[in-house]
Amino acid sequence: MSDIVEVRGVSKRYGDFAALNNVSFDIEPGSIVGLIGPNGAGKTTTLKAILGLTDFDGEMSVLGTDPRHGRHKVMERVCFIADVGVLPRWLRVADAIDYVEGLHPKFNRQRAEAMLAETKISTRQKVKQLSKGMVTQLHLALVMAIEVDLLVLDEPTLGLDILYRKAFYERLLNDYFDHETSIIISTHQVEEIESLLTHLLFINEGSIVLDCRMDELDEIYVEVLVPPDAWKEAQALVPIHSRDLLGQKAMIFENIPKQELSRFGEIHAPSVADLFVAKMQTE
Amino acid sequence: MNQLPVLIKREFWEHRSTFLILPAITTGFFLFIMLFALIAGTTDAINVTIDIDMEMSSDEQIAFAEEHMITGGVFTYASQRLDSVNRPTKERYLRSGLQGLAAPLLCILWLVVFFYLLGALYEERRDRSILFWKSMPVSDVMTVASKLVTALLVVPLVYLVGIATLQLAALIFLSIGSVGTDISMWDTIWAPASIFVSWLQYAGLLLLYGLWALPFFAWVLAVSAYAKSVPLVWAVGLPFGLGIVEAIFTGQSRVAIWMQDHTFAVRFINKHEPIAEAVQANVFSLQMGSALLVGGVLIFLAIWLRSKADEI
Repeated sequence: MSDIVEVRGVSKRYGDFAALNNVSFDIEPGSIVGLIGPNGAGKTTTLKAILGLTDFDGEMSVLGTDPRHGRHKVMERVCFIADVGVLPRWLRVADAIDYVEGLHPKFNRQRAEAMLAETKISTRQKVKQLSKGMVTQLHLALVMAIEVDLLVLDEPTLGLDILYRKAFYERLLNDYFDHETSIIISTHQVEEIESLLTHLLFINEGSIVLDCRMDELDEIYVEVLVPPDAWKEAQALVPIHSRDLLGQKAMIFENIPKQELSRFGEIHAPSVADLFVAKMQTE
Repeated sequence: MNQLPVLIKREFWEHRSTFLILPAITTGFFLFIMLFALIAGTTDAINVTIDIDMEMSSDEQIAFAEEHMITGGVFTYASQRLDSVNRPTKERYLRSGLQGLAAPLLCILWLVVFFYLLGALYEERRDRSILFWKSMPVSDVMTVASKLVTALLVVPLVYLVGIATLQLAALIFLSIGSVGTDISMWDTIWAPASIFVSWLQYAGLLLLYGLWALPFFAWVLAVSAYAKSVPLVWAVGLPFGLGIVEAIFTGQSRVAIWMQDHTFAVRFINKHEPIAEAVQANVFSLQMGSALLVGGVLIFLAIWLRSKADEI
């Protein structure tokens, strides 16, 4: 099976500002991709391009379709949750279910209702009567009842408290992910989704700065705690990042054999958060 | 899968207050007034207007009313007045009266449709719900079609139900008012009113007006998809500006008159001309052709703008 999403040399400009600059990547079937970058890095623009919500230069195929010309076709097999609050305030919960059922050929009503039954949401309520967290629960219930090939989540838990955030990702992983659906999640809160991911995409100032499988991460990136007497020698191997830690330096190296590094001290895989900081500062 | 019914339902969920509740309240209000007039008795028939005797001067009216005032109030008075004139005059009086009853709902309908279309592709960008709507497998063509069908077909039919209710009630009240006299209800009221034919004509008229004014409504919808703020100013200001520019540079106002003609239904709503004749005179005209052409272009513009539209 070919890739779910193929992005080739995609650029997008807003006037003088290059939101995306020659971006290329793939999304394999059954992967969970974390699209991670600081605010304004181009995360939302990338996702909107995939969804056919914005124009761009370059080539892209989403499930074999160019999203610029067939948004509604793409949407039969792709679902999308933007950050909280895109459900209209006047919509009643029951009507929202009817609406999606009437338009989405792959919507499973029982599943959505079962999922809502586990929340405090009543089908008689309107969106404006729900809290931010409940709106996200509603949107997730609607989307998770649709069988699709790709789920696109743009900062889905932005502005939610920690309880909702945890529950959101647990639900996503346990109830939804079945290794046939691919998921791409954008966030700037790396720690929360680190354990979910199979793939990592770092984006900064419109460019992809890291594209890596999670299980290859510790092959490529190694963090070493280097004591002061070895600093000079370790610096010679050009760490991509170095920070002070309890009188020692935690250095992250890229593509340096582990045996060469282990003589400085204990080696381990860097956390995604540390790697993120390292990559953002290198650029 | 036919998506149109769901999409139209969605419009009614959002606009329940102006699509359903407002016409219901308006209809109820006028029903109440008529009911009040029916049971209020003989007191002051002239002050309760239902347009029946609009062609008389007020002195004549008072004289006539005093002369014919019996029990039963304004409807009794009106039915006797109808009984006293010949058939074509009966028809004309009834038509005027029934059109007068329809006028408030028609005016409200126009305003409702105008403001609905003005917000239809604007509000969704402002409240960001466009990201939800566009995440559904619904094409922009379908979306725009659902808004136009709602505005120019479904909502007018809803208002027509209100109009029909009022007209039917008026005829029933007239009949009640004639009870106890020797007036023939059929010959004096129901036959000359030919209310069912008139309803069909109203329906035809409303649909035809939708096509006639398609340039205007499609323009409003396109503005709604384009404007980043104050769509009302764009929708009204630009045609005005165009009219002024035309006047300055050509000294004429052909375009301005055309735009005005295709905005309001003046040509169709002429109280003294049967509706059918007004319709026949305009449906296969060059004017209608130009309206459909310009309207079609503006609809494509609205669809294109919607396909590019993003949250504001």
